Amino acid sequence: MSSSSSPMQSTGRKLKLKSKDDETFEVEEAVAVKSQIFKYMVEDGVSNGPIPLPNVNGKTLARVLQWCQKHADPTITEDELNKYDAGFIDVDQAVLYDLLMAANYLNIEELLKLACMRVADMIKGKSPDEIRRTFNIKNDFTPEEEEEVRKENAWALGP
Amino acid sequence: MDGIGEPSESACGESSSQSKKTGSFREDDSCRKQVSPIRGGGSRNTSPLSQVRSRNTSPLRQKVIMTKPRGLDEERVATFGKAVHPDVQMEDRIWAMLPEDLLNEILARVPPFMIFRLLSVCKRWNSILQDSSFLRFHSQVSSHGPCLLTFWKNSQTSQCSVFSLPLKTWYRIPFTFLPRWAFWLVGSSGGLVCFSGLDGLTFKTLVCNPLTQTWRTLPSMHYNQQRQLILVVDRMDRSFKLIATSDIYGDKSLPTEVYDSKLNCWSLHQVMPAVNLCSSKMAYCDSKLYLETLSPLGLMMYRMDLGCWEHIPARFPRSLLDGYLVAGTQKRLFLVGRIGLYSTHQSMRIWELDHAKIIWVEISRMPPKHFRTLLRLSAERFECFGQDNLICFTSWNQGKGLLFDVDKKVWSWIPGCALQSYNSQVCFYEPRFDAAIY
Repeated sequence: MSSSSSPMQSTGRKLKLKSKDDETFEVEEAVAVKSQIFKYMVEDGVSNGPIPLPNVNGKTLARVLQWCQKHADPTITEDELNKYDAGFIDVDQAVLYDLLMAANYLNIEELLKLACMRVADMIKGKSPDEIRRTFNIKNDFTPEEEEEVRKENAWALGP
Repeated sequence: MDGIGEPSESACGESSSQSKKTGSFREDDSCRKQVSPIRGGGSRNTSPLSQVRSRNTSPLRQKVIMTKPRGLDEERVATFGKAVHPDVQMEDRIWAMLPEDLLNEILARVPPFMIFRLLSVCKRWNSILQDSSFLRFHSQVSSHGPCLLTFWKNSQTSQCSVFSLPLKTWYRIPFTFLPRWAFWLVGSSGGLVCFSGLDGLTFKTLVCNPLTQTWRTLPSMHYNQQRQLILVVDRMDRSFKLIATSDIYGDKSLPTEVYDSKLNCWSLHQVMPAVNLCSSKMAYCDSKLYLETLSPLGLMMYRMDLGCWEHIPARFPRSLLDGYLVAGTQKRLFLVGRIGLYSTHQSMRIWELDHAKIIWVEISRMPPKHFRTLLRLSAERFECFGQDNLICFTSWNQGKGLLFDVDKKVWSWIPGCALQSYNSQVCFYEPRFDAAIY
């Protein structure tokens, strides 16, 4: 299964990518270089043969490439892009996690920011207890210490 | 609470019904606002805000088509940043595997005031505000939206509160570190806040970062006199400057002094060759400082690169009652004030300086009903300040805040913000953990 061919002006050169579950993708260089990893590869001329990506599965890679394609499109307006991003990142948590990890691994800055922002939105209203459960963090405060930290920062808890 | 601040899908589609639904906004204490968006032929719902109740209007009030005079812009409740997502249950079987380095990037994107709640999660999170990796990410994240900082002081107590516009919440930041002599709020820039005051007979200044509770008194100026000051932060350079211009008593022989945080000292520069109009604050943009002067009449511009003053003979609009200078983004400079000598015919206007032609060009007028709401009596005092092409008006007695977005040309009330400007000083503030006092 390869990615859809780009409707825009083709620069010709394509990169072949292989996900960890052996799906192959062909993508325009101009789109792929959204990822710093591919950018360096292209610049260094080491892009013969399919590039193996052992940390990204096919489904996630497909989504990521879709995002890259949209963001590499010169005709799209900023408003449209923002709308697209809002819809793109509104996914269930498992997908979001995969996108976050993929963006990090492939070093796609804008996508990473987008995913981080989404997770930050999810975190921001949570109580410390909920946070600990979610991220599997051990509470290493004694009850007195925790109460002290809480009191110190009580002013920021709002009304 | 989600969805607050979004203009509602208004009744314009229900052309046959007499009742007009207004948006589902939280009614805020002293703000009376109208929030339906203008659609199509400019029909406008003019009924006062009500809480998701249909309101019967007389047949005469249906679908009033109004032509908009220049300046009567679309009105909305101020909205900032991204929409708040409804609370999501986070699944630990997914997130428990999140690597620590990504956590820093994520936490850097939590709105600054909301980070404090997270400090009690564990010891490592408690030290996140000192973590250089977190601070690095945080410094790259753009502002979450403007905040208003108000400072109120009398001989016994002082109070500093910050209103976050995106979060629509007041935060009473502990300001116990502030020395007793700190009396005047000079201003805020890039997350730093500057105060000045008289410690005995010595005129002193200090800078602080309210979020990190760090502060320091700056070295004394060469000339120990109470001066007009402005704080300018260069975030890219990680430095700041404090510019002291005229003495408030009109001593015309004082050289301009500039404090540079990189050198940690004040340097002397040209004396401003003009009599200052001290009632108005100064505005800084494009590496130039502007202030209004009486003689010669117009603006004086201080060039940071050359360290000298230049007269800008831009004539003030006729019958201008007050002149507030507000700096915008890049080179934009605004003048704000009332026109009109008679109380019944006053109007609040905004001009922008055309740098090439050296004239003030009117760009907007405050809609009359906003003007009347903001200032019940024409002689009432108000504050006007701004940054990043946002101009804020707060009235001393009415406790309301009105915002004008220059780019979007939108006037909007600041919801949930019962400002008591009486006897308090206000300015815009950007909460930043990475703002360094050194």
